[in-house]
Amino acid sequence: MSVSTLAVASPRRLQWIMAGGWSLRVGLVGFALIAVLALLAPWITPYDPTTLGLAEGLQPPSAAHWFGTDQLGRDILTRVLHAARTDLQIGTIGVIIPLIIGAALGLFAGYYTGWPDAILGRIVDVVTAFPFLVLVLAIVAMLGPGLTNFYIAITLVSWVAYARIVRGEALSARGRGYILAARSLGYGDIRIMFRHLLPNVMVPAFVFGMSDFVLDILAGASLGFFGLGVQPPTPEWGVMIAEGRNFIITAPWVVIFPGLAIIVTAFFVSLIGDSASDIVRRVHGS
Amino acid sequence: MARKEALEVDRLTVTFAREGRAVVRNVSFTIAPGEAFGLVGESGSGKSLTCRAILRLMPRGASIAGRIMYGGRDLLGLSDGEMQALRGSSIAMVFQDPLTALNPVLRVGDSIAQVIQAHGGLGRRAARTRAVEMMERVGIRDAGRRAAAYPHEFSGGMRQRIHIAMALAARPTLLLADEPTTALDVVVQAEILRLLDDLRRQDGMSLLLVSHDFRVVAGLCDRVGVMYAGELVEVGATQTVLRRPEHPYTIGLMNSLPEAVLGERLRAIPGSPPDPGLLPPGCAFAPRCELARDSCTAAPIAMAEAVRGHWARCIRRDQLDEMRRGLVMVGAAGA
Repeated sequence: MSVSTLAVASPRRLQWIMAGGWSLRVGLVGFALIAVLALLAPWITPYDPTTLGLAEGLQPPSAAHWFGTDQLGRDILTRVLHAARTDLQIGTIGVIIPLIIGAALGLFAGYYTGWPDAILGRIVDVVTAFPFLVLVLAIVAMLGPGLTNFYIAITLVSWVAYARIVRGEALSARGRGYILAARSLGYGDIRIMFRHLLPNVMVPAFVFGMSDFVLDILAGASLGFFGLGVQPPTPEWGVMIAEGRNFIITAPWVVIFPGLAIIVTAFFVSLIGDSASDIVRRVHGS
Repeated sequence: MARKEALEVDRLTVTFAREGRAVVRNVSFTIAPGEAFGLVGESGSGKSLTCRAILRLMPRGASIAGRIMYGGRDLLGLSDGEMQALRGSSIAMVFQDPLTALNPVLRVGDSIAQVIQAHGGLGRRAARTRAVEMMERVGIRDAGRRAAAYPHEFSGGMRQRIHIAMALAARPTLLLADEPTTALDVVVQAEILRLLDDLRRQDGMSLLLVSHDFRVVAGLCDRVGVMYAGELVEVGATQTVLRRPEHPYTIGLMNSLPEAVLGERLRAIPGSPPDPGLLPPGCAFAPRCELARDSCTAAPIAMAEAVRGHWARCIRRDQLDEMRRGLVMVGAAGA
């Protein structure tokens, strides 16, 4: 039963959406909307995100400035939308690179077991011994601020989660009949690992990637807040909150709107991740 | 026509290093080009491991000794790369459970095409066409359309047909079939066995069929070997063995088939197979054998030829007449 339903689930994405119910659909539509707005930001926003003094500073929301203006007279709506480009990029790159590295190493360890697995296990133990954000902060502090260094730090820290997930899946899948059958057909290890094992073990890693996406955006915002992430004047939600924190009483819109942007994005991505993991649990559990 | 090569298994021994026990002991048999050979025995008798040893696909911790000659080469002496090149292209294997033997995320047509591409050097398109032809050959209707389906969209019997199509896609000269019909219901079993037999004859392929069921082997195989506790206890032409078994265990095995003794209770063999670590020096079956004497377990017993080409490992063969009485000739499954 589990094998056959798994097959329904992974290659046919449309069936996933149907099986996910309303929460998956809302999540996908909401996230797609944010992504489209982010992509089109330069064309749909009426102001420039970085030019100073375009308008009077700290104006409350109005017809001309829906989200108000910040202390330097920049339009907050414009900056929130432009920041979405950066933050979605942080989430995407922060998931994809660790996912690829972690999945490859986890696959290798789970397929070969033995000493490659033992070595990987030790490294994973060491990295997971530190709290996520502390380790990212420490690495960025060492390398210096900036987006590239942030990606390096995220990759160094979060590949272990993917490695652990994929390794566990691969370990259980390598004993299944189709892997032995593949070996009996004279396929090499590389082909078996990537063409036969990998598609069968990736789904849980993708699901984890959804929650990791949110985590990365929050980490990016946190580092931005500390001045270790994206450097001003480039708009980024965390940086915007950090810059506006002094006006939180007198002009709360300066921090409320970028804060809402983080919450709304996290909400939609979490909806996708949650319903995806529900499907996986249903499929695996039966 | 495929080139014809004989398989010669010589004193094959499989040992699990950690437990220090031999689960296959000194098994020797040959399969002539184009011949079908059956291995019969109960679970744990070592027949499946014998089969897997030929492809050198052993569970972790198992070591193989002896000689397995195929195509003039000792398979146990080949490098891993040479062995890998042989798998699927010269020697292929069909497994017991078609539910798990097919990769759930690959379309069946792609699974078959992959074998052809890996061994045949054909391009993607040509391999795909060949894959559909293979599906037609194993009796899948509307193969062109069904090639795009996933394994879960097929019934058990159809999956086994697809699995067979994969095994035969690169035109091997020897097919190892490990309980290929055990997971299927009786009607489908007969169809799959007939299919295997047809394909084997069309391609002039050799077949090693492993089964716990005498009826399955009787329908398909020219010769049969009976395994007990990791050892071959009887080898001979299928018809001869069925008509006049020369080992008490073979008789017991035939008696335990439901239709062997009409109108009587099933005659199960008393006791259970021995622990491979605690084998007596002589006949491993002696503790369960009604004819056993002290001499049976004193020293190793050699194979003795009863009739030409019919060998058995029993020193009390002259006492077997009483046991053979009441034995009903085993019919071939589905025949």
